[in-house]
Amino acid sequence: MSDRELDSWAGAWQSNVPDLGPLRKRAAREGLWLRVIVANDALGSLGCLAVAVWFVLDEPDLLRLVIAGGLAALGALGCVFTMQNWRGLWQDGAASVRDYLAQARARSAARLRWIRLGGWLLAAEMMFFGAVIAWRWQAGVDPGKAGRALVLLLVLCIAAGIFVGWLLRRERRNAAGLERMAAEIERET
Amino acid sequence: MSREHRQQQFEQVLADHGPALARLAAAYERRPALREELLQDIAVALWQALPSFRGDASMKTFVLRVATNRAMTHLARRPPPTAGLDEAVDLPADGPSPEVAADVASRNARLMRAVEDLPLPMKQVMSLALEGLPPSDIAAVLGLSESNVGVRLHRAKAKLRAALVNTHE
Repeated sequence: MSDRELDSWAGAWQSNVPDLGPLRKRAAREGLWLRVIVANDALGSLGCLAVAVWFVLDEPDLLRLVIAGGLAALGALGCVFTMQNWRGLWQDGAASVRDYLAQARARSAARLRWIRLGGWLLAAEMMFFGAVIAWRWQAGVDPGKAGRALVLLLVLCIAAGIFVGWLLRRERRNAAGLERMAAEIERET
Repeated sequence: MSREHRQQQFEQVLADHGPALARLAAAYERRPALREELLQDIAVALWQALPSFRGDASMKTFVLRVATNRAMTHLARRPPPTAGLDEAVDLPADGPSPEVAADVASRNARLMRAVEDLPLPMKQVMSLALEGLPPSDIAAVLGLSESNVGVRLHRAKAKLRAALVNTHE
């Protein structure tokens, strides 16, 4: 083994000069797209808060206050999740790859916690709304409307469940990938 | 940092280190479509990270660190398939004549494939060493001690040598 050997490999390696023509454009487009996604997430959270405020101001009663509280909580949660999720984009200049991996694992664990919390909050809200609608139905308060609301709630439950399940599965795979890599690297250290 | 200055710096970084980034992406991702995706992710990460460059290390070290970080994220999300893919490495090589160029391209492709096949800890060290980073910089990039880098590089060299001999036979 000699340094000449490594130098010769390095020479061969560096003689590969790929064409990077479209990379600049694609990077600029992707950078813009990321900003659009972040702005979209933030707008979604703000939208939740705006609807919550409107619910309270429009016709304040106890049920609307509870709905507004739930929406505000979801909006705030979404906001924090967005920050947590996207903060990683600005941490690529971490001091070392080891630090970066540690940060990535911590971020992934935090994302998993937020997704679970969001899922439980959604489930609690759905159960609350389901109970209120069922109670109104039983009491005979506009039964047609209550029936439609129950169907709508069921559809919402299924959609929310699928979405939260998809987020969880995606994040668990990511976390497992990070753990596997960290273990592989640690074995060599 | 103004947007214009950042744009200029980004263009300069891509001009100076773009080929190194593409080679690094190729070392971590064999599948062509995903390699393109990784390269794009690296470029975006670099754009985001440039304002944090303080000049503590050389720009090359900084760029390769950002690229390696992004490659780790990529590998966590899209682990390489367990069964080996038999896709040609399509990075073009310079060469003076078609025959020599073909020979050089073939050797380079074998080298590229052998680096791709290294276990992750060795690949991290070898991909940076092949870009000409000294062990002290590799240690700083990876967050390891220099002696650990030396050990990994030694093992990586042995594996690479064996792989190149095997593919040549």
